[in-house]
Amino acid sequence: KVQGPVEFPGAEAAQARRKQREEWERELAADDSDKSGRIVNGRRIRKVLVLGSGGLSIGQAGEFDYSGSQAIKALKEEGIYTVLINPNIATIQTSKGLADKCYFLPVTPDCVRKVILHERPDGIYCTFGGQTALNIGVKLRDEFEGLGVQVLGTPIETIMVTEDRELFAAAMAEINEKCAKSHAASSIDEAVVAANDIGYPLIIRAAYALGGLGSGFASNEEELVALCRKAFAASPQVLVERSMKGWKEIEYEVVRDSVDNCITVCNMENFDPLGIHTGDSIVVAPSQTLSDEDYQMLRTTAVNVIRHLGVVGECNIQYALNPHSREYSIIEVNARLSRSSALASKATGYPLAFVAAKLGLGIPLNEIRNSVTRETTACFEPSLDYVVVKIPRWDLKKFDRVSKNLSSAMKSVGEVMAIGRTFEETMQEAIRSVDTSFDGFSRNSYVAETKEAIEEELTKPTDLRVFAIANAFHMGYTVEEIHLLTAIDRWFLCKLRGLVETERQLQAFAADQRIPRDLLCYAKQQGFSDAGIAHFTKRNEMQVRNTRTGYGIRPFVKQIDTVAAEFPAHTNYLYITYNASEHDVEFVDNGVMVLGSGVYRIGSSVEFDWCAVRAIRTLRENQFKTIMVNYNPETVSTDYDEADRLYFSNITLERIMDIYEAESSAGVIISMGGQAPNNIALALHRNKVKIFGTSPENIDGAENRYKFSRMLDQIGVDQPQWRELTQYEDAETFCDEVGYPVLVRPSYVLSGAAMNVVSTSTDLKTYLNQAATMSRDYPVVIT
Amino acid sequence: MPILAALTKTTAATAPLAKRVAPSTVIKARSLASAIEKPVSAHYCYPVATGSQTAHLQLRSGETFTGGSFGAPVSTVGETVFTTSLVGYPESMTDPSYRGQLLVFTQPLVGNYGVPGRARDAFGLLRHFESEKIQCRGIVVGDYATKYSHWNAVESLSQWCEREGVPAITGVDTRALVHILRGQGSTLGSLNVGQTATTPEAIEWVDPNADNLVAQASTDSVRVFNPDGDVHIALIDCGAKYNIIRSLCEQGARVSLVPWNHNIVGELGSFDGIFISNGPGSPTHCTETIEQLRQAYAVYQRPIFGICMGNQLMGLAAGMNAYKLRFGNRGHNQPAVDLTTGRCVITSQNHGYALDDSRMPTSWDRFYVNANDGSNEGIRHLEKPFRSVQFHPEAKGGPLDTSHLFAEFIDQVRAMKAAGVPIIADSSIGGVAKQSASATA
Repeated sequence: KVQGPVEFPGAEAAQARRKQREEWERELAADDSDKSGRIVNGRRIRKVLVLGSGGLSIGQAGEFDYSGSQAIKALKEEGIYTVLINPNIATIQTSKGLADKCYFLPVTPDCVRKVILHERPDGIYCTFGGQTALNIGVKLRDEFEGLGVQVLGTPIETIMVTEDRELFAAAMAEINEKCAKSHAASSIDEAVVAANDIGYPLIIRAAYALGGLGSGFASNEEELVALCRKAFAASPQVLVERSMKGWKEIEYEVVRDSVDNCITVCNMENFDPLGIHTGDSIVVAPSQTLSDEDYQMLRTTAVNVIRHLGVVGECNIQYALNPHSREYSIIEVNARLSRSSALASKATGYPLAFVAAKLGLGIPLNEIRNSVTRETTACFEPSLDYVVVKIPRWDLKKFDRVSKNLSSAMKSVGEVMAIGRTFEETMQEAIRSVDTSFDGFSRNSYVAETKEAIEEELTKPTDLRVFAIANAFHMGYTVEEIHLLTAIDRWFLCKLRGLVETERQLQAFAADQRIPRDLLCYAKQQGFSDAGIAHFTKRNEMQVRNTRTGYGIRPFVKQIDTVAAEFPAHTNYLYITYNASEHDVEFVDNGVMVLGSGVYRIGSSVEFDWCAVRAIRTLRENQFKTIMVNYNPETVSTDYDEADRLYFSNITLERIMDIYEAESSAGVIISMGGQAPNNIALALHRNKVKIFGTSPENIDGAENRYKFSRMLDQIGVDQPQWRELTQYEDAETFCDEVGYPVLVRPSYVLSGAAMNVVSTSTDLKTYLNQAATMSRDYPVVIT
Repeated sequence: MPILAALTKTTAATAPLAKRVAPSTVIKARSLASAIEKPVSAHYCYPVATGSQTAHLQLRSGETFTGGSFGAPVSTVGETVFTTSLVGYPESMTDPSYRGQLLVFTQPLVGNYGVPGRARDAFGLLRHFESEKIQCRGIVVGDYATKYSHWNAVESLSQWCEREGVPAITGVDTRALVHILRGQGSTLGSLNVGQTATTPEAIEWVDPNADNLVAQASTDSVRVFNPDGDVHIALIDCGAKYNIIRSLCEQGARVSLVPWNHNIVGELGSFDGIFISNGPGSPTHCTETIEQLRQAYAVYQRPIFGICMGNQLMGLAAGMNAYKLRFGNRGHNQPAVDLTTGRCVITSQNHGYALDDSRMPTSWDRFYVNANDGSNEGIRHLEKPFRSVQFHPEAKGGPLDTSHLFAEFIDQVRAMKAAGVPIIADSSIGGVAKQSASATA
């Protein structure tokens, strides 16, 4: 058994490195006697400035809190004094006990310069704070030298090459790698020459034209000339580009150290083909439809490109891959931590940000230990024995006049990740995680079952495409038809088609008929939830659960260990699956469960991650065993080293009950996760789950508008006239009685979602039909 | 170490339990044994998709896994081994190193991209496979994809297996299986298709490792590839993957593929370089090859290179010992450190034995070392151009980080030929050649 990095006395290069280090030590010995910190490029690094990402925005959320926190942890482990700049108070990285010093200042060139002058750090990291921090690095690059600060990790020059399309294309040409080719042409003849150089099919874009006017696809010269005639009428210049519509989008996460060791940690395949921003795409890891030849071709390219660019640390490379050949094209390289890296990190168990920070200090990859197995090196490529699906969450409903169509600009505000051992199971769990109202991949009311609506949705995707696919299958569309409309790979569609069959089989059972064991078991293995099955078979969730547990069908707990069980690992990173026959772990801890915040939404964000992490830390300080449950990959709470056990799982009644029972947990803390755990509080309480903190009955008293208003009446607090209603007709009568305008509020919602002021009866009708569905379970209060 | 504890408990509890499972309950038990209520069972069951036959994987140590059958509806016995690779099932299954084995894939979703056609390249080698047929005896997967999708595929994995008479089982908790295999090393397994699981006693356990698998996998006669090549390489075939032949040919070499026990010493003078391939089973069966190499070391002055089995044979011929690894290295993600440069490369590997490099013979040094467990990954001679690696630089499947080793080898061969380095040391030409000639006569 090997403890720690393996020493290789024979390695000439390693010996040369050691000699260099000793030389630096000697040189530096004269001017200081303090031997702390690490020497990077002949300079001693003791104090490091880490730039945070500042306020959250769409496309830049919790993932940078995660990466910054990991970086600070890594630096502290190396005995380095850390200074952080981040004005976002809702983050873990700014909380006490992590960074040695934290400045709540805007991440702007002026503030950063001031902090550098005041603190005089030896090094700075610009790659852990998203685009914000990166831009600071680019702006201040000439000043760093004069300020006595060394840029650690990827050099600024490399970042500039990856950010500039032209420089990037030139750099790729140097190593004979292919980028998407693009030519500008100012006449039809020029366009034809460019077209022959690039090859058909092509996309023609008119330059300086608004909203894609005069753009189109050409698959031969005739079409090209016709398109150009139109385009030149509107614009003096056209851009001729290779059309990669319908190509597969593949990503690799790559790590490289300062001595040129280079590995790919994870590869991911987009469910949605090229055309939708990868942040807005459903992503599957590892890739599912690539052969070894495809996989290794892209992997080798990734390694060559990253070596050529000279990245030190972590980066992400995206490809377009022709689904009918081995042809590929590099779309872009992100030379920093990104949302994809947070996802890859959680999907594989490989702590990317942590390792990237250490690499920035000049530590070679094979001298860093794999902190998951504790017995193997960090210089390896994780092997997954499960499948991961990521689905973004959009909150487009909360914005007026925003196009719901997805395209090349990212619109999602958060994402969910699900882990399982079949694609069906994982996909369904992910869909449910996006919003508690979703049953999974099943017939739904989100997309109308008409040819027009379905085909519109399939060809021009919005956030509802996956539901349109489900309904299309139910309407009788074939895999081939949907493939032609969406260009989604047939493999994914075939798998999803199977779910439709199971749903139909389940529907054959009326409320009073017992579901046979085999079918129920099969449905659970395909990832249908108890609630979903209850819905198809017209009974309630608890009836299904009782039938299921009566049959002895329970899920199994498996570990994520980065090595597919090849070596023993001490990992506490767990997921739940029905596609297994034994548990990986024993349940002896009786730990306290803390429910996380779930997906980030507008109105529920990193602040609940902060709450959950602080709760876990406090419990651990008080010697309690802890169990964290969350499914959001952009969080610190899903870091494997925060809790004693981490369940990467959906937060629903079914899952929490399963974990609670399996773990024989001492109790559940629900108050740290915001609205998501609050919504299941009462149900958990009714199922005799021990809940710490405010009793769910009291939570209900505050959340339920009726109970809350009744209580105000009882204790004599003034309030506007109100009534709780479950029927539209009653609502209308009440409104006429009190007079418009009225305030309409559903119960159990987040920061006023679906709350609205209504001033006419027509508005009331539209509003109650669209935004808030009235039901017996969740009535609406009108004031 | 809770995992290991759980593991030993599992294996200890298995034997008696397995006997208790009556065949009749096995058929109906399309269930998940719930470990919350019951103790860990030795019988791993799984519901079978409608329309497919039940299949059972039984280990000699007593555990039974029930799942669905695909591929050929036949039964077989073999050594159960696993690979942690994410892709590359057509390559792995035709790799002669897996001969006689039941191959378990830890990546649960297998069959997604179908099976490619039998196109041949300029050297007459199958482009997408590593030998003419499926070499492993059967495969074990978590979730077989009945529908495949890839532009290059011509048939499904099931159709291919059926055509080649290879059975397969899906719906197995491969992670639980790997836990067992990892703990007990070489384990015989029986894959039988049909409604009932037999008792372990009723199975005729034949250990494929008792046979000389190398002799089975090797070519019968000398075959020449790329006859116009400018340097002549002898490739000793212990079960060579096609991509080894291809990699050498692509570098411009004329390759003579010779049987594993070919009298190479008698023909040393006609080869500009010697290459020893990968191969199945234990290196101890190849005493003839080892003896040939030992004699070649004494007189041969041009490059010799070995891969996988070749590394072990070269080490044994140099006077080293081989031992069985506690946890074999099987996957496409194994880190190996080049001790001459300190660089760490990611390699494709599949071996259960390793050379003991704790004490190196005179004039030999370690070449590569595994960065995970410190085991040997290659050796090199300090004066002569003899080198070998334990991993697979030819990949297929796996990363291509070390494919440059082929170019380096051929470059060296070419340079030494151009420099006119005599193939055989003068002092001993007659001696060895005559000796071995008389021995074979």
